[in-house]
Amino acid sequence: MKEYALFLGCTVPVRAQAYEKSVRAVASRLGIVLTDIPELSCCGYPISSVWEQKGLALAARNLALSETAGFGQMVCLCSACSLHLKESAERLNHDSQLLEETNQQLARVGLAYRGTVSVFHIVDVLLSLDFHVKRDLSHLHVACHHGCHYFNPSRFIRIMELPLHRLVERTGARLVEYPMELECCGGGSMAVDERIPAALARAKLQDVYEHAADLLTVICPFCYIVYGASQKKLGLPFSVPVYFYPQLLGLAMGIDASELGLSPAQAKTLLSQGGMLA
Amino acid sequence: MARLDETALKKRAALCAYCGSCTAGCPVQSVAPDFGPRAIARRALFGLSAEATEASWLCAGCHKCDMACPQDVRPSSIIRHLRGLSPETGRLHPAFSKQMELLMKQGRLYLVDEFENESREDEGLPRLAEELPDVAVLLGGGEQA
Repeated sequence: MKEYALFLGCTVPVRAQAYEKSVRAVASRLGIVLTDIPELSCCGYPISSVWEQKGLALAARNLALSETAGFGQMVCLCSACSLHLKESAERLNHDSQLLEETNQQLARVGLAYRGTVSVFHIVDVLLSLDFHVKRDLSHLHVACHHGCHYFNPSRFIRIMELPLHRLVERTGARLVEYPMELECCGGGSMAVDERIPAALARAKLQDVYEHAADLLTVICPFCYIVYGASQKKLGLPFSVPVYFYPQLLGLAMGIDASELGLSPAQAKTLLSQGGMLA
Repeated sequence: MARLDETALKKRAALCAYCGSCTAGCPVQSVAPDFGPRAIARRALFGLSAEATEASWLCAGCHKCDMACPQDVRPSSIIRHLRGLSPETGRLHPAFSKQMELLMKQGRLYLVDEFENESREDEGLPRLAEELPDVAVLLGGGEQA
């Protein structure tokens, strides 16, 4: 059994509940115990490019809350949270002077961090598990979007292959590769100029569409907001459904669509062909 | 904690060989041609911090420039450095002061109140803490950058 503190961050619990639901549904069937710590806050990423030390202190606050609750492992759903918390944990866990300075800040709120927490993205966890596919998804052609912060900067995250390729194939769905697969969603620029993510999304969704994918799968709430939640505003002459990977995995595992944050209409479209595997 | 200053910024920018690999690989540059990590690094080196800082706000933070750079300049660190100087130089972008304001007030960028917790419960999701007053204490200290 694997136990983790669940880190939701700002966006997932409010704007990507389907992601959260599907992760919980899948995890409970794979023997992953996710424990909620209701006082977890923003990870610190959004402010860290301006206020580096404050961004680190906020990360340390969350790491300390997880450590104090007895969890040496924390799992994130958002790629920006996972990057920032992985990077912050790596720095704090290996630099005793930085840890001491950060603990002086944490002391003001009655917390201390000992430097023992490891941080994972939910995809890291799913990659390490075996799962049984019960439903046939071989009629679905799936394009992947990993998002930049799952990979970059590579000095913190070392990956030799595209993990969603393997994960999609393990659901039985067909993988669609396309030239713009590794292009950024631009979500990081959204607060400053919405036209940046909109222009990037138009080009990428066009590429996905031209490669005849039935859907685009994502592993980050920001990428979802850019490609999925904001897609209607882009004025495209076609539409590309966007789903979180654990929603697909859950369907393949035979989990009921309502537990995966899928509407009856979405479930009907996704399962219009195929059926249960023998 | 190394203090942010313009000398350190110029030292990093001086490693740039002007090859443009960073800008060629920048997703923002592909849709906003006036933007580019190389130009930001060059402006920083020439002491044109106001122009460089203004340009820095469009960066999406994807780190593709860092991965493309053969000189290990890490252009994103120049952008972060410029942004880090901005609260002191009066050049902070309002989008970022707004985000700091929200975190000081509610601990998360999106508000979780009774309404939101009820909607979470309707979805079978657990409640989250609605007030996180220690975040403002943590972020409000006199610590620079």
